[in-house]
Amino acid sequence: MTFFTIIVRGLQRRPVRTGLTLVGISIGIAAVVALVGISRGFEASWATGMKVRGTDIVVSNMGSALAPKPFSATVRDRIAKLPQVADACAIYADLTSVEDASMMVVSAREWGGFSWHNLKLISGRMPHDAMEPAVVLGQTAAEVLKKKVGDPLQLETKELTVTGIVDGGAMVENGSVILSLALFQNITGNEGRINVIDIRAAPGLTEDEMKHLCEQINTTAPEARAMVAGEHLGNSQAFRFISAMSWGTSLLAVIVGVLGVMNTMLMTVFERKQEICILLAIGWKPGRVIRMILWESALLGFLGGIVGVVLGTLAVKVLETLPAIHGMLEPDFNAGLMAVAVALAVIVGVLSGLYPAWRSSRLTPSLAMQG
Amino acid sequence: MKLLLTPFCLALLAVSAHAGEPATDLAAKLGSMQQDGASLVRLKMDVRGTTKFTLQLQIKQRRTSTTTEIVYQVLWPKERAGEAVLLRKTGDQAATGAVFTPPNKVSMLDSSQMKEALLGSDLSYADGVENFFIWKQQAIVGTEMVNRVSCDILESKPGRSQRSSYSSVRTWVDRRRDVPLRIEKYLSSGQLVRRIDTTRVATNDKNQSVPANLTVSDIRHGSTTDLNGASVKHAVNFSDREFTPAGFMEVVPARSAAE
Amino acid sequence: MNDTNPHAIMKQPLPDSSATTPPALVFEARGLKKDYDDGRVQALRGVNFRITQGEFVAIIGPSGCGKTTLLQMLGALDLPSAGILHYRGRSIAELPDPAGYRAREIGIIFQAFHLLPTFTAVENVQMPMFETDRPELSRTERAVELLKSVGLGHRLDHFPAKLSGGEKQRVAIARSLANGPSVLLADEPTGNLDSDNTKSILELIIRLRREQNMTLVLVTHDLNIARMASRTVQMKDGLIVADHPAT
Repeated sequence: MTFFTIIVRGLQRRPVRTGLTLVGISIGIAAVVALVGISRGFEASWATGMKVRGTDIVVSNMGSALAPKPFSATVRDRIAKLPQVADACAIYADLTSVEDASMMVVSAREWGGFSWHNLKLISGRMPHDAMEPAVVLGQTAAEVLKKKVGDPLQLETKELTVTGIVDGGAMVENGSVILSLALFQNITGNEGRINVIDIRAAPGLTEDEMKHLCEQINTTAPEARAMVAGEHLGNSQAFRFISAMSWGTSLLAVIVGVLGVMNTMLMTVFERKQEICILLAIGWKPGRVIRMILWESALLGFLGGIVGVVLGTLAVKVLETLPAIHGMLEPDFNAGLMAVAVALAVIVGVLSGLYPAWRSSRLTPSLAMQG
Repeated sequence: MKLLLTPFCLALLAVSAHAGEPATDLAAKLGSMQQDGASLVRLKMDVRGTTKFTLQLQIKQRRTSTTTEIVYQVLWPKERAGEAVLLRKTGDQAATGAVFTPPNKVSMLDSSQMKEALLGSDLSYADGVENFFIWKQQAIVGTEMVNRVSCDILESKPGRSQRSSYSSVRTWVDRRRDVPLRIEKYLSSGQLVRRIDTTRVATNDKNQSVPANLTVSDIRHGSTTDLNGASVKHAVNFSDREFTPAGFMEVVPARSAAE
Repeated sequence: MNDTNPHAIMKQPLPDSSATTPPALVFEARGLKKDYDDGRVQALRGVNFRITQGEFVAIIGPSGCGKTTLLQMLGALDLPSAGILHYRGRSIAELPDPAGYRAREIGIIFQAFHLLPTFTAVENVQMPMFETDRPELSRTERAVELLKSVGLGHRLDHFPAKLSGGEKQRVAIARSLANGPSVLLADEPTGNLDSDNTKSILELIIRLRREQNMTLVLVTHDLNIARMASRTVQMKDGLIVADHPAT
């Protein structure tokens, strides 16, 4: 028998209570995994979207809203003249309600620009020219809007035709309504306005050179801000707020878990008062009793963490199958997040065990003689 | 980008005031914020009554201190696309309007019809055009929590010359962010007719806190209408024709004045 | 005295009755007092005694006379309120490591056995050994050996709920011997047993004491048991009223 056996037996003593506490803490950890995984996945999917479009630098003006603020389309030409800029593609990206879908990404791209090149036709065709009243839909967008090739799509004031369904290679691309920039500007009255420029840098630039190019772009175009692709979303106040909310909400759930573990461990100490006194009477040092309680609560946290990670992952998988959300989530359940969640659960366990452990160390061994 | 329901919401839930001001000053501030010039709003309207339907709307509005002109145009679904409502109110005069039903039916609205439903929703025509913050009687009648936010309750009552189907309107104003979080409209019998709630408040590009969504409840019929803003554009150039019975039948995009 | 070698305690020589040197002094109490409730309850009111190595002392007296309190003081389970209590010349109240003292010097047998219900007999016996450097395998071997020595070699993996009263007390005795103590403190060890078990448990305790030259302090209210001791200390109202060799 090892000390760990004693820890495990402590938890097995009241299996129902241990189980319920595990459920409590695992719900908290599941919330962390689900909410933070979704929020990180959102960020990662934007980065993937940039990557598949071959974008090295994104020029935009992320404010407090989810989509960037518009600026003059002439900025694109100014930036394109910079020596280390290989290519530039002007975009108007919008998050808006389309027909009965509450929120869709509408991505209007400069006709002929490189941001069209990653789109692989699944069915139908690409628009013939910049002003053809046509859109192509990412495959997820087509599912959400229940559209097929040839269907009409009301975008702002115009009825357009869905000419193709495309695979964009990334969740953001597949969830987008994609059309020509000139057409979108025309139907929304935004002629001469864009809000994103995708930049392809000259081949072979190092990370430092890429950052230097961003600085050059920022000097050339003070209306917007150049960021290395993937970092730009983190610059958005709205995204940071969403991210903070994810952590905030899930930490609340964790606090509930803390109280649950603390309650369980306190009950354990009260119930096992005489047992603890016996251990003290037969020679256990108070420090060993403290370690026993802390290890028990840490183990409870660890198990809760493992169950929570599984629950959180499953919950998101179930969410993904719901018709209203289908295709909108691309959660990022990387090993780092899992490890952080389990570590958080263990820390929660240890913190919750501190007070019960302290209480246990205050017991006097002479109580063992009573009863 | 998107600040969801701005000017349109301002018509329903006005903005901005500062703590400690008397009721009339608060009302004047809310009223003047509502009259914010020409703007274009796009929103999605979900009506959840006996019949359930969703509309995508474009709203053009010109609001000055004396005149309010609004055009509601249905963009989607296809079978209702083109339906439009024109509303106009000048000073204390009764509101007037017109309704266009494609392909070519135009019906004029007189003041007695202002209580009727706007495009089948739980809002009345009057709700869209009426600015109760400029009514004669304004009083702060209490403080109450709405969604865990402490709000001052502003009570507005029309003067003799100001015609309205409501005898009083109460507005719960979050004085910290200067955002109305709830509006209740009462008949002369004291019966609550309509409640308008907002649960999401966002910050717009002018750093103003504005409602991002509205839920309009028709208390008598137990139905609700949800309004979710999609976009807003300020300082828009509208032609006078767009606010006439001849012009409101055409759905055209609006151009910003400051290009 | 302190023996961490699992086999050494079995090899300790029997006391040499012909030795010329007097046996070592184990406990010495002078004016030992213990109060509770801010002095409202006086459990010990000035107790004086000396106990030497290898003695079997029975403490007798009516309920509430202070027998168990005295045993608690000897086991460093509680501290005296006043007076002197020495173990081999050192003040028990000033021991730097009272838990270590309980673990290595003292073995305690309780009236109610006090086995841990979620652990088997062999696991219960290992409990005190966690405060020693003994590795896991050695702990198990030692526990098995001790259980065999108390006649429970066939009950190693039984949980306390599956053992009879006499068996439970045998496990408790084996546990008390886990770290090879030089002193055995027994608080009414047969109080919860029938007469057959009482006899066999007492014989076991006495045999083990003799084999391992341990000092045995046994609290009882049974005069028949007290007669088995080499010395009887009679207490009343927190005082020792008689202290004489067994007749």
